[in-house]
Amino acid sequence: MRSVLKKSGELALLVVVFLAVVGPMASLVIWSVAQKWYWPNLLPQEISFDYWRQALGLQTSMAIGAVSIVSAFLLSLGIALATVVASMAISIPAGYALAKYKIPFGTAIMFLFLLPNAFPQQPVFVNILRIFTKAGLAGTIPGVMLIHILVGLVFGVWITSATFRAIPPSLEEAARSVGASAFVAFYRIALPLAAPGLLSSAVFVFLTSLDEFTGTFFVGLPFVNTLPLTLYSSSGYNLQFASVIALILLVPSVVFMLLIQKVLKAEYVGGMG
Amino acid sequence: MGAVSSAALPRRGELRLPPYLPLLFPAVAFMLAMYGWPFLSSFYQSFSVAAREGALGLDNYAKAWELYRKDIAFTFAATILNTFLAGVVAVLFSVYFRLRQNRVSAILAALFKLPIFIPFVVVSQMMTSFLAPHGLLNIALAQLGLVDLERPLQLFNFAGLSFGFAWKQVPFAVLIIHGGFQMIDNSYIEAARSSGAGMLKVILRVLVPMNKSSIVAALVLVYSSIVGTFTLPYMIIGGKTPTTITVDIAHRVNYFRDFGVANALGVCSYVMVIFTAAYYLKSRIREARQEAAR
Amino acid sequence: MSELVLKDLEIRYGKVTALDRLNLSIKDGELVTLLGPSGCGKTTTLRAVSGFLAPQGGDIFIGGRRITDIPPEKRGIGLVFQNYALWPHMTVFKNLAFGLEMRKIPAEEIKRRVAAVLASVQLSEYADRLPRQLSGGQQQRIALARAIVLEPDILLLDEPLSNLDALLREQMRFEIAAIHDRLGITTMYVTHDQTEAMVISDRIVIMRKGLVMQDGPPEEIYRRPANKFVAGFMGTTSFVPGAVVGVEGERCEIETAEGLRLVGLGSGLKLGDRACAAVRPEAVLLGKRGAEEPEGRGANRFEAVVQRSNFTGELVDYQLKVGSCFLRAKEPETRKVHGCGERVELRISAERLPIVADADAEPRAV
Repeated sequence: MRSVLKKSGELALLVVVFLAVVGPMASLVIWSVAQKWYWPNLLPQEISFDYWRQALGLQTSMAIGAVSIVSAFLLSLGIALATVVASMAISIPAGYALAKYKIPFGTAIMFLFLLPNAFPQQPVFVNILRIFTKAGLAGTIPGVMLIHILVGLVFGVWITSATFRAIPPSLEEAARSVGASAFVAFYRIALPLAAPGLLSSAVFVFLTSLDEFTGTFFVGLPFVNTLPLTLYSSSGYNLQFASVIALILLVPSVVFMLLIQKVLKAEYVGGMG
Repeated sequence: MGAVSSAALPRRGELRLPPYLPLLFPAVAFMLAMYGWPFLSSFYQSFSVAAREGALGLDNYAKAWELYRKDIAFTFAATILNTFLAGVVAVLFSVYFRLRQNRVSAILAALFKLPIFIPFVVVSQMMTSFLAPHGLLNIALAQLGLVDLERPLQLFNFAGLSFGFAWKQVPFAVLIIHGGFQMIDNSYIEAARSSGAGMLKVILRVLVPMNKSSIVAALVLVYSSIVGTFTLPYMIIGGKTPTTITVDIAHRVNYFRDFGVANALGVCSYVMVIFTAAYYLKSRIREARQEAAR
Repeated sequence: MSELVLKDLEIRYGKVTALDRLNLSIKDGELVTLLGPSGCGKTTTLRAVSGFLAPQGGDIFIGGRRITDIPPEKRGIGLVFQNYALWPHMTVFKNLAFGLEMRKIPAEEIKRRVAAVLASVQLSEYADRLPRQLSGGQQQRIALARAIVLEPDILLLDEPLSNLDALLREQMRFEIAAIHDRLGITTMYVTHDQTEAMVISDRIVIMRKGLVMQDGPPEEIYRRPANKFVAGFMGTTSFVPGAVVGVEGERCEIETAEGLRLVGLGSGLKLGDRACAAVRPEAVLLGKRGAEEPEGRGANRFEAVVQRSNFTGELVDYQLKVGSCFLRAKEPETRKVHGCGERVELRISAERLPIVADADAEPRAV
């Protein structure tokens, strides 16, 4: 009797949690295909993929608002790729140095890289906007990239340095002892061994850039419309479009994060968005 | 003996750049320019007086207090409450996941992974459509006869915000806290049970105290994340009052180009996280030192 | 000629002095072991020679060439690490070929030389394996092979056997000694295991806190320890403290507070000095009281009570009480076994009883 109660209690919990977690996601999916949806019906009367086709630039229909997200998608993709390259180019050497050398003022440097996680970032973006406006970078793609590199760098440096720290120094020393220069030892030994961690870091930086909203909102608007900003601006008047974009952003995040989560510290995972 | 770095080979009697300098320089320079400077200038700007160039004063704070004291209180209350709720719910779920390992808990655990990886901007959109007066939630509740659709639940307020935060942060807190519980060996639980403790006693006297550090860490991260989140309140509550500081900052900047008051509000949000930030910085630096000593 | 010479080598970590003006030379083809407890400076010395640690003072010479400022990759040194440090992403062959590639040696010759060295460590069939597919002993041999395939002037081994189990460790000692005999590479071997040092070394250098305590062939270190530290480090030693009451050449006599007199070998001691007799269990012989004296003149004879006797297989391990002193003795189980509480006569030959200064203060470097 008690075990039956326990079982049914557990199932009830499962149902409630399932609905709470999946409900909002279901709402997105339904909206993205809802051609006609009059309340009080639980589900749309008419379903079509018109908004998907429209959003993906496969069809132009005046009836449902001629917005294509292809350009925003390409812009986001381009910014994200450039951000990954720049962030990794900066954070690999820095992460390596933090992992392998005893650095004077090391604590101060760590401090600098921890501050963005410790304090709200929005006021910083506000001041970057102020500075960028004077420098003519506000509302430009390079300005947005700088913001994304900043966001990516914080995680990039921590993840890469943790990756390099996990490689015993004796492996590189062994290479030096058989005649490899410091650079060759790094390139032939440390780098290949660090590759999985560095790849995870790159994927992570890519996703943070793809999903970055707050910084781009301040520095990019109104001229740089990345995918998240397009989502925001269509959210007010075209729920179907907003849902399509939200799903387009959701899928890569969930898929890639599930793939790389093992390599990441829990708190990075939560630092997204 | 292994403490000294491997590749450091300064030649004696010669001045040579340590090899880590060029490696670190780009990252540190970038961080100083793109983070350190704006961070510090948010303090400076919050004290600058718009009317008099170069003068410093508390004008911005006075104005922020006058216009937004309700929102400051709202933000603080929302943060405390949501952190507390997320903490309690997450501890309960983590304990459940730790003690029950069956198919149901496995499915729940898998479900809980999803929200963690979904970016805030998507979560916000989800919530806007899900919680809307004619959104899926109200329709579903109406179908069950729990809500009158003529007067649907109004959720674009504190309640909806809390649901949105819980949706995203409870799974995240569970990830950290459950991770801590998993480090506790079964033998501790068995030892407590064999000395006569019931399951509730085991949880309260053994599991939770032993896992204090990861519970605190989760609370700290959730708390500071909620204070700083802009997207969710902006898309759910927007300009309605009361709203959060982050939304006010955006309004000050976008509509009035008023960086002084925006920064005063920004400094308020720094002050709100001062203890969690200190805790976070201290524990991370301690952790890094321990790693380095190994 | 590849003689290794360290001259006034000085290394500090912050305020801690790891090496205090170390002077050491290893002759061409010699195998010298640096032996000491952790923190004695032996690994620091090895890292300075290999080039991963820059000394604050002093110089290092290989075959007369000053290498103090030369980066590690240009020193011509083969290095074997405690954790083997085999590159996990490369096969055994690639691990061995890496250094040869660095020297731009043609592929054909690389193949030949790797095959030859693999054969010499009896692992020819493992060329295509990854390190993690090898046992600890095999990894150890590959690490050694990687160091010697380059035919280095100097071979440095950093506690190479400490990760192996006891049986394999014993076997590898002989193998390393055999490889050294065959190749004749000047070798510096670092360990904290005194038996290991005794087995493989031409010479042992005992270190403590950055100073050399004693430098000599294994037998000399064992028989004629220069000070209390060395005597204590080599084997299980019981110290019997007293004052020097007689010096006659190398022979030295001390008297304990209870009036017990012990004659042994010591040097540098004067009448009245505080000194210790270093009693090694294997130097103690037991017999019935009043039995014939087998060791001739100069044997110390005392009456003792057996406190405990443990049968350990090949040996019987005794705890004995002489006056207020406790001593250990080990005798082959083939001799008569004495029981607990039995009164026995204990004899220690003066030739096998080192007398050292009883200095708890830092012993001076020699």
